[in-house]
Amino acid sequence: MKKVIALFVAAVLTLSLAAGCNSYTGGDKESEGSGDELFTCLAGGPVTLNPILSQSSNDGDVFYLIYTALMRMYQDEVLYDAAESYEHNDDFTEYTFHLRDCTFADGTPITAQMFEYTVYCMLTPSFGCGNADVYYMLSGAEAYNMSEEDGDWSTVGCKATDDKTLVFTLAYPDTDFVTELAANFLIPLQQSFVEEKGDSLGSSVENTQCSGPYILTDWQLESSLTFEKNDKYWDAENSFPVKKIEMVEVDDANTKVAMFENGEADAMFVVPASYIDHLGDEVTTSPANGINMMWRNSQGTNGALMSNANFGLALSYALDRESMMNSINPTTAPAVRVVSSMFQNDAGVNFHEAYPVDYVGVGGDVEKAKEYLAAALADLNYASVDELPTLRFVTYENSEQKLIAEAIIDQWKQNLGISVTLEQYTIGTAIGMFYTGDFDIFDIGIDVGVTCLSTMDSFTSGGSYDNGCWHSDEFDALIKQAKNTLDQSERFALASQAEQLMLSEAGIIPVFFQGNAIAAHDYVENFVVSTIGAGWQFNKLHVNK
Amino acid sequence: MKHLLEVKNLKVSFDTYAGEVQAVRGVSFHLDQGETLAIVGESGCGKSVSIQTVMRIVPMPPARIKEGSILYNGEELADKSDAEMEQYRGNEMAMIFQDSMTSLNPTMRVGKQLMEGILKHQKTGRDEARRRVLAMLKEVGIPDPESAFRRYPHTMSGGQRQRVMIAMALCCGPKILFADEPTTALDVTMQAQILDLIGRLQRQYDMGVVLITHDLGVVAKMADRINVMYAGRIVESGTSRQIFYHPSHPYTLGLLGAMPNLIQERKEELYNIPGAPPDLFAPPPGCAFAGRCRYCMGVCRRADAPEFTTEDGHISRCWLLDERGKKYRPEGFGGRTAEKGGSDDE
Amino acid sequence: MRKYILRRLIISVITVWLIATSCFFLLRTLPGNPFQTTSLLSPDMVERMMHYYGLDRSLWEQYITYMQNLLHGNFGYSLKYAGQSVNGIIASTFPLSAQLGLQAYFLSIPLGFLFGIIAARCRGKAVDYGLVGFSVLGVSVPVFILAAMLQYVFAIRLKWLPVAQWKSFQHTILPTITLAFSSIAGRTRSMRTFMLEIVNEDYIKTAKAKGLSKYKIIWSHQIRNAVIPMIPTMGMEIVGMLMGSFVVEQIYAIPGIGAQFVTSVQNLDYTMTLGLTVFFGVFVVTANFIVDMIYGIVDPRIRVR
Repeated sequence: MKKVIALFVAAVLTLSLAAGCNSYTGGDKESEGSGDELFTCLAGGPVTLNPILSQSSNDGDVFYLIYTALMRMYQDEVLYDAAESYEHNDDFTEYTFHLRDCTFADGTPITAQMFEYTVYCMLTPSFGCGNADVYYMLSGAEAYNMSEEDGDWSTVGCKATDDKTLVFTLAYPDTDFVTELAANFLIPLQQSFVEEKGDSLGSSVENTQCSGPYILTDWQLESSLTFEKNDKYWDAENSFPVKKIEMVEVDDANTKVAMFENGEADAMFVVPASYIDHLGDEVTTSPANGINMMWRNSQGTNGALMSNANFGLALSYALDRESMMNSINPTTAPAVRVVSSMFQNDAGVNFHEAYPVDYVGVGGDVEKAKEYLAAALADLNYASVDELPTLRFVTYENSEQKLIAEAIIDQWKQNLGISVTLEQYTIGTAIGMFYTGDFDIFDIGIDVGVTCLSTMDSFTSGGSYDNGCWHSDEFDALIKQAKNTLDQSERFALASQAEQLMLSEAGIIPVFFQGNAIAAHDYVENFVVSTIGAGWQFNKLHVNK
Repeated sequence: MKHLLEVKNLKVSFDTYAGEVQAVRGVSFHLDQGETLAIVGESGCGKSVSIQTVMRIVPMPPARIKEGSILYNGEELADKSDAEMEQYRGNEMAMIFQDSMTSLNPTMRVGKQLMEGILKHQKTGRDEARRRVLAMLKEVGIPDPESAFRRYPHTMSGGQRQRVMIAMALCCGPKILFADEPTTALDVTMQAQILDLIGRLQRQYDMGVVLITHDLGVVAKMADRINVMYAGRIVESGTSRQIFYHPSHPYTLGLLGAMPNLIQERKEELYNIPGAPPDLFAPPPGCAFAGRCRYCMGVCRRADAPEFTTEDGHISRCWLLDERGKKYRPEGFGGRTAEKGGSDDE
Repeated sequence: MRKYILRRLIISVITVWLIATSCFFLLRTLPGNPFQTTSLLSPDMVERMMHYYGLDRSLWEQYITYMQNLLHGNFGYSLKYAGQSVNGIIASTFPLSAQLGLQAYFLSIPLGFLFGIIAARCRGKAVDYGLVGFSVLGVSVPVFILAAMLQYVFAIRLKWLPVAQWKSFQHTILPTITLAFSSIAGRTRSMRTFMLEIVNEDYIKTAKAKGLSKYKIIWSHQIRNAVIPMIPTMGMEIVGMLMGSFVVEQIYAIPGIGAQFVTSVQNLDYTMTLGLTVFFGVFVVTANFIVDMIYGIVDPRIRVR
């Protein structure tokens, strides 16, 4: 008996010993320091702060705060950052940037050579950069990057002519170069620092050399981040007013919302869909930088069927995207275009309005779908729908994807009578299957890109999304021409033609545009998410507690 | 005359979900210092329950004493509480069991188990208790008490364990030893040794011994008096000699007849009593043995026989002993062989 | 005894080696590759990264390199968290899970045993029914429901405790209770069962016949023998608790090692998954070894010759 009590007492003592260490003040979070401070919950934290090896936009969100760039985006606007001015030649093939005086947080001056070094790191094959293709617009870049061994850097069109001047030579005329540069967030890297840190560059606070509006003072992997304002930032006085930012990664929806409602968190990225109504007007929804679309595998066992344009159109027209997305995730917008609604043409008119396409509406068109199906059956000598093979719909594992896929398959069954099976795998596996062609229909979301041409460019032969699913010489030609045109309005017109072509041949079937839902209490001003490019754009954020 | 232990009309029932099981239906017996009483009967006749009730180690929530008195040295034990009974157990009366392997705690050293009783009842220090345990182990014939003290039960042989059990029971010098089938699990040679040991210790400590067994051979060797139990009642009771030579109950006859005889002719079938004991949920109104008795009469099924005294101190519950049943008595009933001693009622 | 320990040691090492090897090759059978886990990447880029990480060498060559590193205790670098060593990630996440696990474990042992003993003693009474009901509930209710309920009641409504994270002692209370809950429930049930089984054993009758008091019988004879059959499960239980519960860690936003187990496989992060598996394997093997030793000490019937 004595021993039981002893055990008990021991257990209670050890627990209460630890209890004396800290006290908890309660639900409402008191502001500890003076001035603006932000505490927010985030959904995905950075995995690495090494810009060369970074693959994820979560990393990019952090870069926006801790690094300075040549130019940076704020929403749709391009802002000067380390560069104070630039000019280009008449045919938009050469851009020259002039740097202002600015330094890293540790006082090291930032020079043009440092920017050149960054581009060098990203394009040189032995550095293992996975995003090198964002700089393929530079002359000689693609060849340099695609070679087996490290080649001659002087062949690449990126040169620092002196400490404050940086010259880019492009492979083709590009009127959008500055936007692309800003969206890609080109930062300076100090060669000695990079070589000293080697593989562990960007793996912790000590291995990161900050240069931006904030200094990263604490980083727990997959857990939390703390930033403090960098007074040495060149624009410290006029931007990024919040002095301290604390971010905590919370994956669980209930917990996140509870912390927000409790007052523990001032704001929240990624409001879970089911809580949007509950949180009412503290939530802001906006279109995000992604489009979800379906590919058809024209190389697989059902290749003949899948390459048939009529069949593809049938599949597309049979879907009522509007009601489907409305019921599954109201922050999204149904998509019947390839180009995002975020883009405007040279006259400032929304792309969709300026260039309407001949395609199905968001509500679907079942009658037309059936016509296309009949045409497809005739093309391929099938007597009836029942003769069609069962198709495999492959996508990644996610509860929302499941709902969408099931809704799509169900509508196809109801409206067209075709039978499709759903296969879901973890994302790595699913993507693997995409590239090995192990599917009939594949669904995933992709980035919309920086300009209206970016996405479509990826679908040309040799582009990153070219998986042999669809090919059109005419399309390739249109895109090439559009990229090389200097005349803006002609460029947009060609883009719209390319888009129409892609839709008419059912190269891909768009499903929906992704949306964002963020939440902030009313004492927080200007809490926004980025539209083009990545970044926590706290340039104008205020926390008035 | 005051007996060391006197049980009068003890009735014990078990309250189960299926109903009341009348395990002991009115049992009376007595025990004096220095004598050995044997209780024989087949499995389920209530012999274990009776003596366990005396010591109050039968689990009392399902079991309860319906009626009866248990007098130990004149003191009434039946209405004492469980806590009060602790003083008697181990101290005044002790019990040894049939299966020595399971009756000893397998994870506790033998010495420690033996010391428990002494430490509780005799208020000595550990050293003194240890000394006494070692002495006791020697007494019961364990060859190396020092090493046995530190051993675990499973490392000992069956005979040694039984000796340990006996030592454990006798550590505090009880006046009564209840032995519940102490030799049933042992081979014949070991049986003899253990019985000798019990007998010797009985004489040495002047204890009363209640020996439960179904083996009449054991009884013959050890018992002064015998109680034959059947279906929760004592059907015959008397001295050893009386029971063996003048069995006065058909059940006893059956038991005696069922004993294998070493010189029996191989051709003869072993006698066994046909049938099975009655269901104790609903004991029959008449004699419980009626259904299996060769000599069953009409009255046997309707009414339970009272006690008949055949000789001095020899009682039996059988209608055959009634005047009116005389003509149904089998030959030799009331006397097994034409032996002298005891009058026949014929 | 020494020979036994040596033999066990050798077997343990072989077991861990087998775990590492089979895991290594099994992981490669999964389709996809570590670099395409969040978005589509062009095959050329993938090739570039594979080369950088040495994944384009022959499988055998990679295996040898891996084993060599393993012998030095080096698990390599994570493929997803560029620049972070697997050892580093384990070293920063494991202590949190371990602390949570140990707290929950040492909370559940006395409580579980106590409730089990009480339930067995008060068998058939209201207390017993209550405790048995509690143990059934505790084992059946899913962890995330329990966590959500505790959060709602104590953190949101009553505001006694914080909702999530792992900062002060108060922060650890709800996660510990959540994690310990089903363990207490299971232990209560087991203890009760064993106690009741033992009460019918003959040696309890003997103990009673010796005149020992109720409490002495329960303590010296019943509890000790009831605990013995529970020891084997306790070994694996502590391993499970130390390794973190993915659900508890996710709900309370605790950066422990539990989450890593799940995400590393989803991310096809070969080195991370291998590191975690070997780490876990070593733990399990060690825990089993210790449990076997303890079992031998506590139950003399199972002494090793």
